[in-house]
Amino acid sequence: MVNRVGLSGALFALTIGVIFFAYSLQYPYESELGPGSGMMPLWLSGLLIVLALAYLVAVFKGKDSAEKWPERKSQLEMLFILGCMSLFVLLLPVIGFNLSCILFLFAFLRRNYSWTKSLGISAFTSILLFLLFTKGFGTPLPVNMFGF
Amino acid sequence: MKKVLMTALVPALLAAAGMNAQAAEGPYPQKPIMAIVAFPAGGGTDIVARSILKTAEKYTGKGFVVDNRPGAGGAIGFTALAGAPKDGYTIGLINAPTIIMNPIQLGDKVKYKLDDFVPIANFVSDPGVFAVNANSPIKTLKDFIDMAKADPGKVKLAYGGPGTSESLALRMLEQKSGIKFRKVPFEGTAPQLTALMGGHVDIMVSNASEIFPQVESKTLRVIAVGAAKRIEMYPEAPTYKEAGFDYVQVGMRGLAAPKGMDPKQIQFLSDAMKKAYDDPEFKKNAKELHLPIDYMGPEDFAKELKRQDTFLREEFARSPW
Amino acid sequence: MDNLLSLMHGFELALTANNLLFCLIGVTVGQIVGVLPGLGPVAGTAMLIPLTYALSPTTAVIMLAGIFYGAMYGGTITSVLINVPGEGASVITCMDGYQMAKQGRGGNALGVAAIGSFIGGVIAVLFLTFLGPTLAAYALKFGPPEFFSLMVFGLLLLVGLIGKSIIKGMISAVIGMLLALVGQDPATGVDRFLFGQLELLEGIDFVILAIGLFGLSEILANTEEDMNLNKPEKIAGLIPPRKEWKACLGAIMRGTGIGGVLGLIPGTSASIASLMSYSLEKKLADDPSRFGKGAIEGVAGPETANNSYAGAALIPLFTLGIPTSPTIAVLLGAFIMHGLTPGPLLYVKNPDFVWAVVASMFIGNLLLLIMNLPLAKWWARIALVPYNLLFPLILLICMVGVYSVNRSLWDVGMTVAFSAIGYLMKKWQLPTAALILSFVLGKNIEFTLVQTLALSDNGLWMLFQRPISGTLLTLCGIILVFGLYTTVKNKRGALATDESA
Repeated sequence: MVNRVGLSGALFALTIGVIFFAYSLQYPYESELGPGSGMMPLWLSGLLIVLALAYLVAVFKGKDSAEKWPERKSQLEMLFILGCMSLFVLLLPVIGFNLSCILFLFAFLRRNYSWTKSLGISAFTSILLFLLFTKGFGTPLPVNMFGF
Repeated sequence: MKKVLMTALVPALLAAAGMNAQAAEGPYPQKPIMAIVAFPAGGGTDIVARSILKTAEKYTGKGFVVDNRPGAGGAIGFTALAGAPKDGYTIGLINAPTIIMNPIQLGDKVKYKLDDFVPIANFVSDPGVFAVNANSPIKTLKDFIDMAKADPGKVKLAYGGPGTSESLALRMLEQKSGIKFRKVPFEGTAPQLTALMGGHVDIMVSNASEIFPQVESKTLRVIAVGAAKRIEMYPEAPTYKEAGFDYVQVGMRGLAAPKGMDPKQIQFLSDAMKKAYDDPEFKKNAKELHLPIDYMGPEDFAKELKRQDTFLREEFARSPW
Repeated sequence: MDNLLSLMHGFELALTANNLLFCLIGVTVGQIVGVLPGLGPVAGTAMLIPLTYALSPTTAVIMLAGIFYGAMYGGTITSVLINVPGEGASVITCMDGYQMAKQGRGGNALGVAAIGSFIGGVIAVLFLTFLGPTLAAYALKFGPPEFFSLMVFGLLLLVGLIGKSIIKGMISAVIGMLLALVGQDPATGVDRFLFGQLELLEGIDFVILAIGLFGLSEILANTEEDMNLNKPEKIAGLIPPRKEWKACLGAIMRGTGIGGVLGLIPGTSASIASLMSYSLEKKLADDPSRFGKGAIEGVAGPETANNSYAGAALIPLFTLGIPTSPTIAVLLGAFIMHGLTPGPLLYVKNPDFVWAVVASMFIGNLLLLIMNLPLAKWWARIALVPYNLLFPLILLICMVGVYSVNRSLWDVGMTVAFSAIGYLMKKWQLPTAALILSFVLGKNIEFTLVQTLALSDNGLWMLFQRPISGTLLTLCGIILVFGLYTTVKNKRGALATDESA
């Protein structure tokens, strides 16, 4: 019985191996000192391809022990988390640190707590972090056109 | 409930209002000026920046905020400076020849040009040095060159790796003296020191300020200095030229503004920097930090940068590295 | 005797109210910084240097040392509680420490880490006091060939830790090493695998992998369980139960030894020390299968090792003026900024300073221990906070932490990407610890290989010709052969879920 999850894993490893291998071919193999930029990556990615193929073989033999994919509910939850994080990264330079933090936290907290409580915790945490980093550590954080 | 809301929102609003820096009418500067440093906190450039800016505060009225933007060998920070707002509140530290070498070596991966900057002043000129163990048979640069001629590929030298300013100096040395020696790359001065002191290499090339502790304790000896004239730090060390190698290798660190900034503001800053440079507090600080200080005003600094740029471009065109 | 008197004098100086106060501040601030994911000891110490400008040199360095130790311990706290390693050395702590926290024994883990760190740090500092200069000279014998062999040895130990599936472990390790190659090639400066992004020129930052692969992926994995059901019954206190004491003590002593020796050698890293300690403990344990599931020796040994490493690493710094790792380099910078030049002259020119700092190391470690004995239980209580409130905060703080290291949104984006990859790797049972450790080692391996070849007159044979390097490689060979023999003998499928390593 082929384990579908294991299959994707093996293919993942194989893809990485192949991509690095292909790129490694572009770099000079040797240099005046011996190994060039390309040597080590070539061997390593070659090794990876071999290992990935071994993995693939074991998967087809039904011997892999990967875990199962999660159910729909978890998948949605994970996408939500990843989505919010990505949004945070994108919005940070646009609307500034404080607002991005507040939005981010609010999106999560609102699902379990009331409006005011969520907003309160979000704002509080955001300002705390902002002050900690800018005044405490002296590392500037992105601010929007209003200065926060 | 309302209470919770209030307690959370009030400070939020107050903070937002407070942080809303209105640039009111009045003399420049109205608020602290941001200085972009293209290297990590605690490193050589960062130390220089914080040192001079601390003293300069006295002359500008408002302070400075150091913004470290490390990465890509300085390119990230330099690019940030090039694209920074030209309102007079962002300046940055620039390092020569790094800032010049980046666009040449990396081509269009780098998104700034030397023209994007207006130099304000240079503070530190850290020359390259060749150093050996105190008990090494190599006493002068000529000894080293002779050794390399006698047995090419036997002498081992430690340096900071390809693409650094010293790698260029080494290339020139090889070409001009017609010698070949083994160059071992290291990822920084500390491993170079270990290798040299452990006897794994015969000689190393680095910057003057970085090996001061070892020279002071007489563990190492400097046999040549890459400045145009002998430096105060190592008075017995001949310059490269005196030792037979006609080349100048100096790492400079100074301030620059993005092109397009108001010339009056630039003038103000360069005056303030000159005063800060002459201030005994800075001099004392620099001495403690073993920084070879060397002031250059905006015009001199700009000229020097242009000279290095032309020279490096020619070199690269002749034989790229 | 002389040294002892100087040390006493040093204590006198360090124990002034002023210095004690700043030591305390340093340790506290250090912990806060260390607890914030992304801000390891390097970034933390560097950021806080400005705080010390106003102080006298001695006080400033005492405070910085406090920050340094505090940050290291803070990194341990996050490793145990939220599976985010504060720095390379803490990755190992995550392996068993986090499992212990999930079982409600987080307090035990933190406690044994604090105690072990204290003992390891103190003993290392004693080394420094009495044997400093002599030891340092010996350490210089390590050159690039030795480092290369040491790294290979480390890699081998790593693969040996994988346990379940050699092939999967190797896949992770190889990917880790490939990631380490991203950036500029050490020999020729050619930029590799940048895929067009200039930000990758200096390579992928450790922090990105640590937070993405470890901490954040864990949170993604948690979506599959109802976290509220997982609350441990009660939070165990700080002191581990009696029956575990003996095991811990042994681990601590051995960890001190390993860390102490490695710390002397410039060019090694704390990760190797904790890796070796973990391997050793696993090999010596009665029941090695406990490792990876919350074996307390798996925390005690490595944590002690990396603290004694840090203490011993100060020896080359003080005596030769050479920093052995980036963190120490920051300390070096701090010394210099206050006008103190480390090196043999330091003992002569500023003896008061040296002994005061050494004494304050004792005190710093002691303060950490005292502060954390009661605090550990409270830290561990984080496990009791409602998960729905906790995890968004962790997500946010992690992202901000990563951002603050290089002020780069690109880094944060990569971290998010790696969190997804980390989750997938969990599903596929590809060990993330192997990836990240080989990443740390990989960066050094290529460099040292290039250097060795540059130094050598006859290629790779140099590695065998030099005594230290030769011995290490022979050891590697023996381990390899033995390992293969055992595997073949057992004839288990390479991918089966068996327990033998």
